[in-house]
Amino acid sequence: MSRRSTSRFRRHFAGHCALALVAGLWACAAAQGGDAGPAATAIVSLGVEPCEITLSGNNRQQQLLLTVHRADGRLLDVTRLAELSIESPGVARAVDGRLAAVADGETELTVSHAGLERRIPVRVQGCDSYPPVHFANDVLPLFSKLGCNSGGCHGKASGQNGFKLSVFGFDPAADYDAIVKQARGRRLFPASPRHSLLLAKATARLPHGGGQRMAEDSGDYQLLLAWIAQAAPLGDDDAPSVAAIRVSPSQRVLAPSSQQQILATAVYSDGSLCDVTAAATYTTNAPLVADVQSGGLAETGQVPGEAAITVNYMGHVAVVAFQVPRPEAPAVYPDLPVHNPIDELVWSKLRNMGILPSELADDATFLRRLYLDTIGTLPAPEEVRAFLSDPAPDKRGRWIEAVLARDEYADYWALKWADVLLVDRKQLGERGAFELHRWLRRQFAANRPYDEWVQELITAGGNSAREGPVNFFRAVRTPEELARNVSQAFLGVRIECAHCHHHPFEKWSQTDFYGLAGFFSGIERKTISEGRELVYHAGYRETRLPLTGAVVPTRPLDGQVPSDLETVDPRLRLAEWMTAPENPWFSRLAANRLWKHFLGRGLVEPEDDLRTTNPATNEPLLDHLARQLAADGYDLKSLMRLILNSRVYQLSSVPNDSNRDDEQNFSHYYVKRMPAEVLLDAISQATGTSEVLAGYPPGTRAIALWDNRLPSYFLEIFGRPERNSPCECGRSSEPTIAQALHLMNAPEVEQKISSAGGSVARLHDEHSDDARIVEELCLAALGRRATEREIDVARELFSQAPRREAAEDFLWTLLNSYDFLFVH
Amino acid sequence: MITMLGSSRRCCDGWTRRETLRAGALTALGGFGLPQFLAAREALGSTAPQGKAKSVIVLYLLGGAASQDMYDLKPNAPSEVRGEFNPIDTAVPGIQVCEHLPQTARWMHRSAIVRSVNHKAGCHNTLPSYTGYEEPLDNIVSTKDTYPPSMGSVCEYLSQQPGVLPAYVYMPCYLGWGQSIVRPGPYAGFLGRRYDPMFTECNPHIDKDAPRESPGHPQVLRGQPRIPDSVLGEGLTIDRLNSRRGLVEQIDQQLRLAEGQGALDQYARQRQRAFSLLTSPEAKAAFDLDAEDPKLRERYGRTLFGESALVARRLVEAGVRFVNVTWDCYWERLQLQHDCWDTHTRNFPIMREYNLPYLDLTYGALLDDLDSRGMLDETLVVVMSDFGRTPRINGNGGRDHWTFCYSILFAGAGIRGGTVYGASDSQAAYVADKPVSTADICTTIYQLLGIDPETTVPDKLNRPVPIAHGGRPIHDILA
Repeated sequence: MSRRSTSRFRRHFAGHCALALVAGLWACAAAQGGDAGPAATAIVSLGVEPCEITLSGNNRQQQLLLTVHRADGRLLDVTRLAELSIESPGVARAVDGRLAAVADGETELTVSHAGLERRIPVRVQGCDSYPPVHFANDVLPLFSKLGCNSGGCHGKASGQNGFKLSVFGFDPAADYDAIVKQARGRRLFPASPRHSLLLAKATARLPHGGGQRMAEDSGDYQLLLAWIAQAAPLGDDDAPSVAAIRVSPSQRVLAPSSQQQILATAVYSDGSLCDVTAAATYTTNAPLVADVQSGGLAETGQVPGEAAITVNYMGHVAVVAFQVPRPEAPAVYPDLPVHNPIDELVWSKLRNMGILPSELADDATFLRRLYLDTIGTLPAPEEVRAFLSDPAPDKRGRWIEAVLARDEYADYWALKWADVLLVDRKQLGERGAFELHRWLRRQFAANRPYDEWVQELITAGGNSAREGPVNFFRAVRTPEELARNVSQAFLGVRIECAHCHHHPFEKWSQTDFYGLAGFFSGIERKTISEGRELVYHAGYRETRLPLTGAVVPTRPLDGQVPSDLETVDPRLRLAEWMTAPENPWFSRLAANRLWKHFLGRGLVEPEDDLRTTNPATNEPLLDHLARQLAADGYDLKSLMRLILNSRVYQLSSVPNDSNRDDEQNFSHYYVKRMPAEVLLDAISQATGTSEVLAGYPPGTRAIALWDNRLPSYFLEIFGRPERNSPCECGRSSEPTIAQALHLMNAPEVEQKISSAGGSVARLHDEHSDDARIVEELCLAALGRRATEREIDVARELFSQAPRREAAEDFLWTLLNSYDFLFVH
Repeated sequence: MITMLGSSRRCCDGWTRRETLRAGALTALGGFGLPQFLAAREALGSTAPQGKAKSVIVLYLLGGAASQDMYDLKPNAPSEVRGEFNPIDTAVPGIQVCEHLPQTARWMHRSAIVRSVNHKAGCHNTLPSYTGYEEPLDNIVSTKDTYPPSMGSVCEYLSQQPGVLPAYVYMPCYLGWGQSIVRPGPYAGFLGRRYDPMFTECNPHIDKDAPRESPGHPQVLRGQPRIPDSVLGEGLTIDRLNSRRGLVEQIDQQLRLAEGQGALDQYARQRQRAFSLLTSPEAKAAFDLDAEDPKLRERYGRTLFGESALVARRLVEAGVRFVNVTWDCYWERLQLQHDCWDTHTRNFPIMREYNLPYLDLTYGALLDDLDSRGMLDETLVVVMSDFGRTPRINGNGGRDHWTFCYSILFAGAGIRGGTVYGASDSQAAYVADKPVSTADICTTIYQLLGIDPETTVPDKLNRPVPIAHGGRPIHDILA
């Protein structure tokens, strides 16, 4: 790499707008120009994809992807910057990084950039005719790309203004019928294809509610025109179908305000490849970081972060992941302490993004966080004191063990899972809800391996008043609902989309959905008495597609049809498949749930929506956690131990300048409000009182309730879920005015604060001095000693009011503070 | 700013939206929240539809009111359809309403009746009437946070000023309270609970000396709406509350400055509002009916419904944009059979003795009151129900569930007075002319409030969902 080529590089760029980037590169190269070795930004090679090109048919084009490799390992897209020249312009021409056929023949494409050159053989054939258009393979993707068959337009159940397409083109036969035959065939006019209503509407030559979707000089238009001119063929049944799509690049680190071309290639069932860059649909999940245009050109903005571009073609999807690091990333990234592999994986991501993690949280903050996250309980003042005065360097690890062994552990985790498993008294009756909850609590009390209890749950049968898990089949009553709930709750696959149509972001079709539902087809329920049912498997039954009546083979997602469906309870086979270590979803979802529980945000969000198009923010970490869970025999406590001991979990919630805006890389602890039940218990604990829960013995904790319908204004307004969706999403931590009013002014809270048996009264009766009252109340409510500021605030308060009143005001203040309400 | 993967939820928080706008993401309008959209439009100098109504008061009759016995009488229908009531002339020649609605008749010159409302989303499904989303639900006695937002929640979502009072208040209690069930509709659904209405609480009672309920002897439901926990408790003065507030702010300052995280900011806003409600005179005044002339209270009717409507007027005066007053069914809480609109039995005595007179009383008083204060030109009043009732009278003298045709009444701001839109057939069974969907009704209300019916709001996956749900404003009833 010579100086000369570097300067040519600059000259070439000067004509374009990517000036900021180039100026930086140039400055850097110039500064290092005198050094012996090549500059970090020097270009060492030029890559061209694809490396040979065949164009068959006069409409065919090939997208090129041209990439330069720099000495520092960075890759830059130069698809639109490199010079393209064709040896015989009569055979093909190059436009905007694409190669288009002109006439049959062979030639060579020369790509030159920054002094480097690559030569690519090009072959053009079949140019004298438009190749036969295939309805399902060529025309339908066009409707998806242009949005014609989207749910908001002709794809909705009732169609749009009399013209109905299947949503995302999942039903080619129906769509063909709609376009070619319905409305007395008026949508196409083969005698003069140009005058077809379909084209007139799509180009807005005639008024079209959806406006102009394509231009007359576009390739899309040419394709539709050719299809109509060919007498609108349905296409050969045996024509190869799309088996997968490949994208290049699959991931890339990009600078702000730069461009990156995406190359999308369809792989057909016969192994042939076809460039579908222009026909595919692109969506970004973070348009501010990287936006993408039709045609696959992505552009980064000024905002650092990550973006996933979903590329969709004919129901097949692939994802391109872009990272835009912070521009002010530290030049030398420090060596960070590592407690366990979690830290290494998180630090590695932070290093890529140029973010520094926060400091380690102090002991008191850590202890409170550990208690609240693990057992939904505040640490008692004496526990805080004992922990703070423990000098041993390994004390955090020992206390983690102690907290994991507490009885409240089972209460708290049964509560969490009761949300997911819809333990709803209204649906199940008192006995049913009680039994299912009790069963769940036992699983956690015994720390039974996750795969074991899920197996037992999925295959449960018997009397619902005796067998807790049987009630799962009472809360969810049809094979379709069971398929949906089991899939979402244990696999994180939102198969419900495919109940009605092809999954919009995934490969799942109706056949996959009903294939899964088939495992539950023979479940029957007999009423024993009110609120009690006998649930049993009454023999395998076929499942049929509602639309066509076709029999759907019962099989797990991406799996094989079990051979003994007729002779066993098919749920056994489903449970075995689900909990097999090689199942790609089961352990990932469990790991992601636990991670989200402790760290406040899932590696995948929503936590139970695992799919290629919704990638984890730290894929290696999720992979590691999932493998670890499976390797440890699905011991949930073991994975919790790993998470709790990591430095990442123990980071402070106070951000630094580099990570203030980070909300997904776990550079600091993300604060969260206490869940309703935990908060109610915490108020009781901090005030030294006990909540009276109607029908329960005094002292019963709210986290131990089995009855989700127990009348409680407090639990209602603080977001106790109704338990009607198989997820944790029904539990809300969103603040409302009713919550704020209640904490500030409810007689119930005021009574607790001033209760004759409460902590203020006790401290007052013990003739404690002001300092001790402040100290004790802070320890009880906040799990730490008072800060200077709190002591100052209290001093003033106590000087102005009688001691008891001042103490009440101080406790009220603590209960209304962020430090109390939030886990931080 | 670092933006995260799968950032759907993030875009629901105000801070992020502002950041979004600052980052110049105007191309992404569809996927982001409305406030930037509005701000962007303002910035671009284009004009929003000018709403005639600053506020709306919805009088909601739960249970499927028999609107053919109210606003769409069929005197020439066969007797098993016609019912017992006669039509009377109104202030507008050619338009008639039920003889038991004299005040409604008197205000016809400022009102419009839509007689062709229908939906196919199922009986007792209260979601369509509040949202315009007309799909049947698996369960009509619970709500889900994936449902579309109510009109009021959209108002709250779009509300720019963090005023003392929220933009959306729901009275006298949550929908379904009287039956101890949660009926869907009034909520913010996928927008998030912080855009739910501020619900008042009610503690209704009946007169002590009232005779046992029997046909022809209805009991009047008394009570007033109150905000829970909004009255300072014993021993707590405004001064003491203010001093406590000062303390908590001093303590919190540290954490907020240090962390400044979204969750804290959101809670801060609600706490600020709660403080204001407890301490600010204007907020307290809105619920203080003792400040009203007792004569005016009599005119509204000393019922839970009437008093709630009077509070509604006070709330509108205080700047609240969307106020709902529901006539709930109190079967479970109070064992009252007569006081609801779900009249499967004794439709005519119930309507004649209780429902119609008290509705008419409150409606007439509300319009008089708004008018005399010069507020009727900027306040829209809507009387609507979740569905209608069968044309044929059943063996118990009642009418059963019917969603295929019913009437809704509009009055006040922006309404072309003396209008009848659409028509039912000769038996008020099906739509004969100009069918109107619940989405059309909601969209008309949006239009009147100056909210662009083309507006979309982001769902949980950040997909833009049109608030209109395919509805179109009924231009013929607009002034």
